[in-house]
Amino acid sequence: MSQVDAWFASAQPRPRRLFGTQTFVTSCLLFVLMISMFGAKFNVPEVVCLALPPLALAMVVTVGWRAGRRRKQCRESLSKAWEHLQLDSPAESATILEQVLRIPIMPESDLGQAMLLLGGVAERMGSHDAAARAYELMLVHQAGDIIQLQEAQVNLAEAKVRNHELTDAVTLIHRLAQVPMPPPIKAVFELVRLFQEVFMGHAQDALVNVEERRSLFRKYLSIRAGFGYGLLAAAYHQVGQTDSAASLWLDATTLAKPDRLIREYALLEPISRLYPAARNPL
Amino acid sequence: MTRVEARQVARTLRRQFMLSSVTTVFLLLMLVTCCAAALWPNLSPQRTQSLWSAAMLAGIAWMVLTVLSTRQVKSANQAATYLSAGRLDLAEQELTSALGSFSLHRTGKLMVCHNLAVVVHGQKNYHAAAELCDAIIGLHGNVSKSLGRVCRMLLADCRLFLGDTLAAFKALQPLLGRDAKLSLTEQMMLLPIELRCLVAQGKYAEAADNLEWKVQRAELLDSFRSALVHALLAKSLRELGRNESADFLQRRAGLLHDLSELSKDYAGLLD
Repeated sequence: MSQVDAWFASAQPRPRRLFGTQTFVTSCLLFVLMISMFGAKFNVPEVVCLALPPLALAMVVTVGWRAGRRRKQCRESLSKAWEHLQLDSPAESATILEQVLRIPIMPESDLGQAMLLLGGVAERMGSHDAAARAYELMLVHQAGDIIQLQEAQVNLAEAKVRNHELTDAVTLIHRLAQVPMPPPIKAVFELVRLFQEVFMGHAQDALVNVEERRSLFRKYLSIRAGFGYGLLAAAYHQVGQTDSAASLWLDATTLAKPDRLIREYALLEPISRLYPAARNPL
Repeated sequence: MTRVEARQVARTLRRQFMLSSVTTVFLLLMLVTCCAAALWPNLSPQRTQSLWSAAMLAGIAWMVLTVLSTRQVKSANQAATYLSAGRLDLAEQELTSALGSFSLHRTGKLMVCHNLAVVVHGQKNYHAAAELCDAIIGLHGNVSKSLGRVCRMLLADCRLFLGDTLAAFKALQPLLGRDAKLSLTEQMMLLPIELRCLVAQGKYAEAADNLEWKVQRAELLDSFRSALVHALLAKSLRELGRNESADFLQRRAGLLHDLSELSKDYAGLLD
């Protein structure tokens, strides 16, 4: 967790330092301009008066080019980190992020993306407290655009459930339920909410609006809809509706292999022993 | 946007590229020549001063034009925001006006044109979108390889919707080799289009080749495109007599999206 704090501290933009640098550069440029215009009056050699403005111009162009290049490199690295995370290689993703987060990241949306990726890597490595810290830092410092911040809130709620901070998680989930969200984030939120309800044994709550939830999962979660179906199967099992549980478990295991479902949600382990999984011939 | 209007946009784009090349060469020549001449010995101080001023003027003009060119990138980003909010009309308006203004840098201009092609494609105006993509591919050279690759995919998609499978395949050809080195995002974009090409041409064995890799990539796609890839793979496997795997993938496709809706959108391909 302290590592996450250290990375965030080094990656956060420093507005004061930036302002200071900008003021210094502007002052230098003004000074150069003054010398080139009035240098002759103060016995500055003519060659200096002539050479300074082009040199200053070249310096501004070089600095601008380097800043653009650094930003491009940062985006490329974030994209690589995302690719590794998608392909289930969180360690490689973490190595890239470690490099990226060493220096201030601008703009805010890039920093938000980096922190979301860091949270994702921590989750994938089973370090849910570090993931929660990454999301908390994002939210406290408002690092990211509005969509990224909503995503961080939803992910934080899930991390809190996994860390057994249930009171905080329930409070956050109740608050988020009142907030309008874009449908893809709403689908992820419903998955988190379902997980919390099943985790806490509130199966009846989990089965309210079940069709609406299924439709959201199907439309926006792609293969991850399998996780939702698996959790719904667990909820049906908790209330004793075994036929529905078996049918949903079959759907869940058609989309994701049972070991992957259990890796994501350990509470599905007993369900996998009770109900037959879909046969995957691939 | 009509096909004729798209052609007009393509012509304007070519003209502006020419203009930006001429301006860049002129400013660079002016800068280099004036700097070199100012360093020449035995020149009068007045002449040296004028040469330095001209060089400075060229440098400042280049900087100002560069700053003004960033408006194109801003417009492209603004249009992307409109696009994600589903406001295709506003996005088209923003991009069309951005295309009319001068830009010293080609990448920004190409990005604007590419986003316009995406908007027009989203309006199901495949002829116009194909015209714009053709123009970008013709112009992009080495300016932005990634943009060129994305445009090729968009062009192939348009050609497929227009029923020209061979033209679609031709557009994709440079992306299909092992040395294409596509990023994961590009691989994900390419997969459904490539599979549509192969299935439309009846190349089922090729479509079902490297199945595990394709299914893994399909799992990363959004529900609709993932369902499409699963359904296309299922069809290919069924044609090859691998019914058990085909049934499994078909069932997966059904869990990801409404199959009747999918068949309606891709009539003739998934029958």
